[in-house]
Amino acid sequence: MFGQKSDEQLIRDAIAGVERAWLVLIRRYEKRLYNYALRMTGNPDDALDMLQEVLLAVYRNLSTFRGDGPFPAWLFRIAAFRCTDFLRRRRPNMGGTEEVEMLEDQHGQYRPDAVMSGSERNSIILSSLGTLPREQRMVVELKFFQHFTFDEISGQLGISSNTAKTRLYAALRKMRKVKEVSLAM
Amino acid sequence: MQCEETEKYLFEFTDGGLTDLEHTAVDQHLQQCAECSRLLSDIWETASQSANWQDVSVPHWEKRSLFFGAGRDQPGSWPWLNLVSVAASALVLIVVLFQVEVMSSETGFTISFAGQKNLVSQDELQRSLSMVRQESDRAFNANVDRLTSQQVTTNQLLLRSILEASRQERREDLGTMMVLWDSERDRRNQMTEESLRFLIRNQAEDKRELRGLTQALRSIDNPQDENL
Repeated sequence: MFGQKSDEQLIRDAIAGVERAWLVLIRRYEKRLYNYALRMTGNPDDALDMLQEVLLAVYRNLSTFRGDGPFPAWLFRIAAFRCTDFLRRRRPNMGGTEEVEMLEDQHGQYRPDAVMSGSERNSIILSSLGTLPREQRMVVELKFFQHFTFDEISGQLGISSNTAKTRLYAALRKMRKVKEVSLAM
Repeated sequence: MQCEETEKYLFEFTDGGLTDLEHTAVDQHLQQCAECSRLLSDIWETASQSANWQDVSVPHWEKRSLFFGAGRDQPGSWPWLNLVSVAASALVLIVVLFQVEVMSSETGFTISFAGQKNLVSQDELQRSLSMVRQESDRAFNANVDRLTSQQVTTNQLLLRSILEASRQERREDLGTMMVLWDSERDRRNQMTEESLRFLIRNQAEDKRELRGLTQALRSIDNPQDENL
């Protein structure tokens, strides 16, 4: 009787103009999206900006959600697009290449220490993710933190499953290498 | 099984999503290959790390103003207004560029493009303009005259009705005064009549008393008369 409304019901209401339905839907996913954005951008200010951009894009495209798949998958597909766009705009001259990591560190954009409310373990995770190019970081995020399958990841990023796997293994090797170097120092 | 093939199945190996045969093959390769074993450890380690992530609370931000502020689109609302404005602009551009003219006639509409209609000269335009101006002046003056005469008639009627109302009021006042005056006169006449009656009655009584007194005096002066 007092059960929560499903995502689909809330979406229908939101499209019909019920503000409250949209706000409930936001509240349901904003924490997950914010933490996603935090791990992708590495600092709280950018994470909040990105969260708002993603939600605004979702709001504008809400009527295109057909309901033929789970809402979170659709939501994170938009989030992946907006995230790539956001990070590209922030550093327009950089691709998702190996060189990015050094430049990002030099410019101090990815600032795990800036996560005020995060624990030490969060800082370690952010430091580790910060060493990765954004394409690899995205795959790690979607696989290990959002627990999507490789098929879902390939659908969200518009790449093949094998490419997603290759990026993930490259990311794992990279993180291991950085860890070994830091231990040796 | 080679490293490349093992990598393909490594995640499924951790999830338990392989057949027994595949699982055995991957397992055998992992026992022989240090690099693939390290990769498997990396998977476990990263999975473990990710499980330790503590969700950070979202800082407060104004949701209503972002989504429902002035000028925001409804979700999925079609920007038809933009299309209408673009279409209108395009239509105007076509009309201007091709000098499109739409003329109505007895048989319907005629759409003509540049060059099919003679251009009107400056003098003709001036003449037409002055004629229109004169016509409008005449119409304006006629309207002013008509309105003035209407106003005069209205004023006369108003004055007449005011005078008539005033006369009627005075007539009524005079009638009222006459009635009052008549009643007052009757009252005073009645009072005068009563006073006169009173005086006459008093005089008669006085006469009777005097006569009585006179007889009394006579009897005192001539008592023999009385004895006689």
